Amino acid sequence: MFRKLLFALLTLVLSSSLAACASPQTPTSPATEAAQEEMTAFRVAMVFPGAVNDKSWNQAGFTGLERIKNELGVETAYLEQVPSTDWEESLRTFASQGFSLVLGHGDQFSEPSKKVALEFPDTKFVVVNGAYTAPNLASIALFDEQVSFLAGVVAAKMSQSGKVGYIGGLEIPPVIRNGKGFEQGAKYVNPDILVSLTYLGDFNDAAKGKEAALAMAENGVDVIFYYVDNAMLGIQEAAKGSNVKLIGCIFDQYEMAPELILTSAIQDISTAIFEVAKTAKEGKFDGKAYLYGLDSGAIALAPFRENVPADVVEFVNQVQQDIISGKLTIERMSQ
Amino acid sequence: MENMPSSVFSPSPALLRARWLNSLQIILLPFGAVLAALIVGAILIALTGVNPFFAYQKMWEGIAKSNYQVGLVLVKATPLLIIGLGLGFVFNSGVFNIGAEGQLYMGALLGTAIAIQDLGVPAWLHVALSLLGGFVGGGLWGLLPGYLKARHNINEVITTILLNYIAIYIVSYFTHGPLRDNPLAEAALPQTPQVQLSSQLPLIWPPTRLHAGFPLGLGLALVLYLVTYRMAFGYKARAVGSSPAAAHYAGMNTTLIMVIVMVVSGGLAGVAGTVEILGVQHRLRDMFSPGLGYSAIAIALMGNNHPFGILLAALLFGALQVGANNMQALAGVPVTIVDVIQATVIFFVAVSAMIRWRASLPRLFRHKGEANG
Repeated sequence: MFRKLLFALLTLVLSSSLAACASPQTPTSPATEAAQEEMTAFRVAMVFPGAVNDKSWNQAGFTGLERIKNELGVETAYLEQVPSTDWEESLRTFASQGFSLVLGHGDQFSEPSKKVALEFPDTKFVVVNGAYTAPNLASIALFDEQVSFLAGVVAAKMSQSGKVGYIGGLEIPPVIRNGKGFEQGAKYVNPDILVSLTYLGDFNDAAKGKEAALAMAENGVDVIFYYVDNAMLGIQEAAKGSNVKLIGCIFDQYEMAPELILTSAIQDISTAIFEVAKTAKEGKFDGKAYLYGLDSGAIALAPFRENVPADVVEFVNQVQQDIISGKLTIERMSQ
Repeated sequence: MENMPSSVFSPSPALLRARWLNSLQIILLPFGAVLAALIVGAILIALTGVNPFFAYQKMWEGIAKSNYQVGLVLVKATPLLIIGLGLGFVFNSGVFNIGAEGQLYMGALLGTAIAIQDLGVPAWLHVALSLLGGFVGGGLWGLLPGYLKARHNINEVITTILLNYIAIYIVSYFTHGPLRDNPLAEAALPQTPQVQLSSQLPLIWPPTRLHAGFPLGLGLALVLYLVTYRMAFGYKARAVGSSPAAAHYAGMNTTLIMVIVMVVSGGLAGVAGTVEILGVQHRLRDMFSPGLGYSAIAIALMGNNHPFGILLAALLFGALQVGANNMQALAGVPVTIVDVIQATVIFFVAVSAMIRWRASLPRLFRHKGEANG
């Protein structure tokens, strides 16, 4: 009996450490003693589904929150690693504490926010990539097609074979949108260009990325735009062996392969988060779907280096001007 | 004499004193455990540069500042209470069910599968059917290791832990596949459709989030108390826990009893999972439980396997959870430190349970003869 109890206790300790991995939420950042006096001050809180140092989606959002704190000089707080059990409650925690703006970092907060926004009509809610809007609930998203359109323009200008390619990870809306924008951009330059679109079914499988890139190279594709995570390593490896140039994604990837990367389609959600908070602080918040395009700086092509000729750079800059000025409109894929 | 019903005799002063000391221990040790954990926590919080008094003030406000927060504590305590009751019941029989997490998932799966159907029946019936589904789902997941243990003496600790993983991935399969809600929607999450309105547990203390699952848990605590301490079956189940060989020799069907307690324990975990879906989440999601089935083990230990002790322990854990959440959100204590504090509470609870158990050793026989009177 004693041995058994001991065993059970050991198991308990082990299993609770297992559970801790999968388990709850959250830290935060500073709330000071001044909190009470500042009930009327503009304060921003954010809820993250994952760890804020994940070098990916959550970290990008956290960067936005840090900018809000440092550049707007407002008090911020956050909860991280919030499990699905607490999505709704974590929003409510901040709303009930008088935070002026509460952000949920990801589509999973759409439904919880819709509910909580009704309970706290004086609090503004924002869901990143959210699906709903209400008088006090906005969604923010990047206008991915605009920057991938520019990537398509660069690709078509730089291609000598008249064949360009797009390699996406999973076939889900943001990835599809980037492919569509790329195709439109390439055809804008050269209506007869051949654009091949491929989805790996995986963001991180480098072997699959290499295979797809090699297949494209064999068919004569000489510029590839990709929208994947670690699978980019396979694509870069394949490009090295063939005469293929690449356009990166999300952040400026030039340093990863200076001889291959023409530019990158930067998509920086942290800027969008910062911008919406700024708008709210200025009292201009609207319960609508905010779409951050080339004019916001949240999306942009990375600076060109010497591997892109000056006339191409000039042409791309002109297209960008036309998009920003509204002379050239790009369709947003319906959700 | 020892085995005679003690109520026939007036208890000796020594027995009274032992009984009193025992109750004192049962009450004081858990509090000591929590206090010790809070002291360790205060040191850790101070090391991260946050004033521990400020942090604990935020924690306390999170628990008791308003009716709303109190309601939240009760909501968090509800699944822990219901699972804990089942675990206390099964631990009393000497069967160490570590599989509540998996049983919770399987119960929630079956319960949700019923709750999302438009059955066209009255709400009370829809809720009852869903909860029954939860009991059956969890119960079946407890039946398997219970049978293997009782019939083939296969260690239930191993089998229940392994079955947890299987259950969690079965639920993953269903939330990604057959039960998935509108997979074509933008960035659709792996989750089931919302449960029907008729199967949602009503909120009973608006505007707080408290739902009918909590009184259900209280009712179950009473039922389990009566079964364990006032009915023949409970007596037999505890006898099996004390000494399976003696119970068998006394003519009890130990195999059947072990299987039944495992089914009840699994079934209650399944009910808890279903209550969480019907009362709070309203959808079954992939990986929806933050380790409720594991936390409940500590709760059963802390509650000394007694339904009312488990109720108190569940309330305490609910309060700690809600308070810790508030402390993170509003005092800026890092999530890792909060996890450490929660794990420390469990650690000290386990240690105190061990101390209590060892302290009771010399009195084991006398204590039993008295308690069963």
